Amino acid sequence: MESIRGKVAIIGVGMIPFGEHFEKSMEDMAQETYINCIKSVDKGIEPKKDIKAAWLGNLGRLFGAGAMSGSWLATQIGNTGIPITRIESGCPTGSDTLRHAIFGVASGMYDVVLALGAEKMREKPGTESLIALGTIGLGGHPSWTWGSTAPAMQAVYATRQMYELGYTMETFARVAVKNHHNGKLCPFAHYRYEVTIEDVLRSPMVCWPLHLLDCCPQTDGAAAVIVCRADLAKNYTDKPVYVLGTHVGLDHSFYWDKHNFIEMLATVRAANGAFDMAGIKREEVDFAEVHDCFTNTEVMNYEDIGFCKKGEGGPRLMEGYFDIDGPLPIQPSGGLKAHGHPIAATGISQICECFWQLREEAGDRQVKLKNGIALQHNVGGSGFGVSCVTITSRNP
Amino acid sequence: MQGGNKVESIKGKVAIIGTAMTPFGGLYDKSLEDLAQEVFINCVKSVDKGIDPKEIKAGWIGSIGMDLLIPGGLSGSWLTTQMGNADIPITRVCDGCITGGDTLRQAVIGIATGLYDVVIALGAEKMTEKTASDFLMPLGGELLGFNPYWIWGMTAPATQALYATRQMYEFGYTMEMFARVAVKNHRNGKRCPYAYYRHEVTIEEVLKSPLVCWPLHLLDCCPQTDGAAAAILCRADLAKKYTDKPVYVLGSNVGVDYALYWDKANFIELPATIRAARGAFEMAGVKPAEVDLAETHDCFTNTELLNIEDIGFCKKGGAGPLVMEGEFDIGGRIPVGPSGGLKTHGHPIGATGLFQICECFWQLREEAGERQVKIDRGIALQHNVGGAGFADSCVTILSRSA
Repeated sequence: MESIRGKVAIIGVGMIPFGEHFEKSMEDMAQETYINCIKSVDKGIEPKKDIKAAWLGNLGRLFGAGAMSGSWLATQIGNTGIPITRIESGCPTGSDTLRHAIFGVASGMYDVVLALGAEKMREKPGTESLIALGTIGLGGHPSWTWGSTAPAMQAVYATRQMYELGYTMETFARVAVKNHHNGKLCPFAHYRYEVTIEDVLRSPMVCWPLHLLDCCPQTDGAAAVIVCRADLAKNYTDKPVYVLGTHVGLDHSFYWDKHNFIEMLATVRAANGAFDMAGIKREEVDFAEVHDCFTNTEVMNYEDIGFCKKGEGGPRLMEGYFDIDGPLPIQPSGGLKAHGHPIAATGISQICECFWQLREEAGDRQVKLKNGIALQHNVGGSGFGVSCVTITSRNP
Repeated sequence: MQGGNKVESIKGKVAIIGTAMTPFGGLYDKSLEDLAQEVFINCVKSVDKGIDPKEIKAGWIGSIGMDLLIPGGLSGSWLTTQMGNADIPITRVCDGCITGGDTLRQAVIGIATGLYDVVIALGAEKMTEKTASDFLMPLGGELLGFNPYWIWGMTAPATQALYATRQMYEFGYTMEMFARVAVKNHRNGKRCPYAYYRHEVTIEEVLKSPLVCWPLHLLDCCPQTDGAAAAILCRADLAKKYTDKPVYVLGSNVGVDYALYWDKANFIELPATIRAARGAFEMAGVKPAEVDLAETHDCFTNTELLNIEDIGFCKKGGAGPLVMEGEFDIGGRIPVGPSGGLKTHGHPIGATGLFQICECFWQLREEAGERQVKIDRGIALQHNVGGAGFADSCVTILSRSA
């Protein structure tokens, strides 16, 4: 596989604080995010002149407000002069939208492009949106109607992690403690308070062994990124962030096709592909934003991405290895745990955090940079069968 | 085109080496999974010199599906299960009525990046599992963020009726002209084994069919059908390894417009099509007059007349009289919809653009049997338009020479 390393750079990012935005429509959120993103370009950008194509991420309709096609974004950004495509690919929708924007630039077709993801998750209760979504995600398959919702599906993994790897509810709770601590420092987070292990274990049980505070909240949000040809990046900023690799990994959706319940092959495949493309080793990554929709998922991610061996994620977490001042900070932003998971915005918001961290603009939650390399990861979709990993760097 | 720097061309970088589709229709005996598997197997088999499916390095699945059409693929991993290959990246594209065309475009861009040598674009849709009032109507209501005018009855035929009445008022088009599109496309569809409607109609029959929304009759509208279609693409320089008759992609572009009607400049053109076509022709470096055949988006008969003008095959106001003269018949100056189009195939959304690509592929390779058009320059054009407010369009230009 040919690499795209060094061909594409990120020159601006924007997002809105994630939370319950009952006062804002999807349109409001997209417009605000777009304006923030344009304004973030250090040396300025003329959006209508410079941006040559766009990709819109949105899962939409079940959540009560949704975009059907690319033209929806044209109206929000006031530009009908460019091609816009809507991507919808499960929980990695945001990062896969960015991946397509990166491809648009890497193909040589477009010099500067926009990727924007927006999602309203709070207009409908979970029973009408997430549960309904789950049922449909597997073609109306009965395993969903029997109650295999997202927490139930992750509980299947969590119990196997406990049985095979000796993880405990405290291990999972420690993820929440870390991410709430970081989220408190992030002005874009939905939850901005600390929790203790006791708080997590005392919170209501959602699906054994996962408590309420093991789950990410339902949130509204939007995020956007402008990417351009790497050789043009310095026209827009002195501190571009370069894309080293981006890859989607998949797995079969049905649970009877899974070989075990302690790893997610989609993540393994996405990470292997992205690292191959980037031509770097796991040790070179300074920090990562991974998909912590549930606390046990984050522990699985450490191992599946390859930051440590299977079974080492839990003990290292307890030692503080992944804390913001540890050797490998994971979720300096507070992650999905503190931000929520407005699906199409999630992956792009993680890229925003990577961008700010790599430019050392993350304020209170700034991590120490050594190699200047960050990793972003999503996993989800039906049966957690889709993952996307993108590796970025402050050097081309 | 708006903007400064020119969009670079992908001309000559990408080739189509195999295509396949299922017959379109009310396929109640087949699930979406069945359709995707069948079309995947047939697509692999269609590659002349053979291909190991494991050579396919990435995929794109086009499907609107999901909640409203039931059942549907939620994400790329759904196609993984149907293809029996979880080792490649697959992304789902969901982009209104142009989903099929734009799925192909994402695959084209994928190859143009240099990352993937061989990829697949597959579209599949089940449209007959629910009645229209259960899905097309709520779809309309939701796609503009619950804008009230959908609730007032702005369904797809009602929307196109706005255009049709303006075409009549401003250009003197008549219901007979719209009906003539149905006559032509039914005549072509009768010769296409994949079409759903395989019977001829007369102008009188169209005009006597029930009125759906004045001036559009039932036979002015495309039917609701199930179907799937796919194309395998590769780097142009590798194409001859797979077939002696590859079809090359000269250009592929999406054009958009504002979706809400109060933002429209007029009701006699679809700016999305104009923009998509202009960009695609620019990329391809060809002119409309050089095109041998076109498969355009005839969801309604009057839409085909809009398309012919918006793409640039004739001047605005010209398509109506020209269709009456047989200019767009098989054997005419530029055959439009030689497959019989959406009019006879229906419009299973994610599959539509890709079935049109199948037809262009077969026509350019002169494998279209009874409905074969005369190939002169060896250039074909595929077009979709739709989405909320008919504000999305995709145009792809293909050629038998690189």
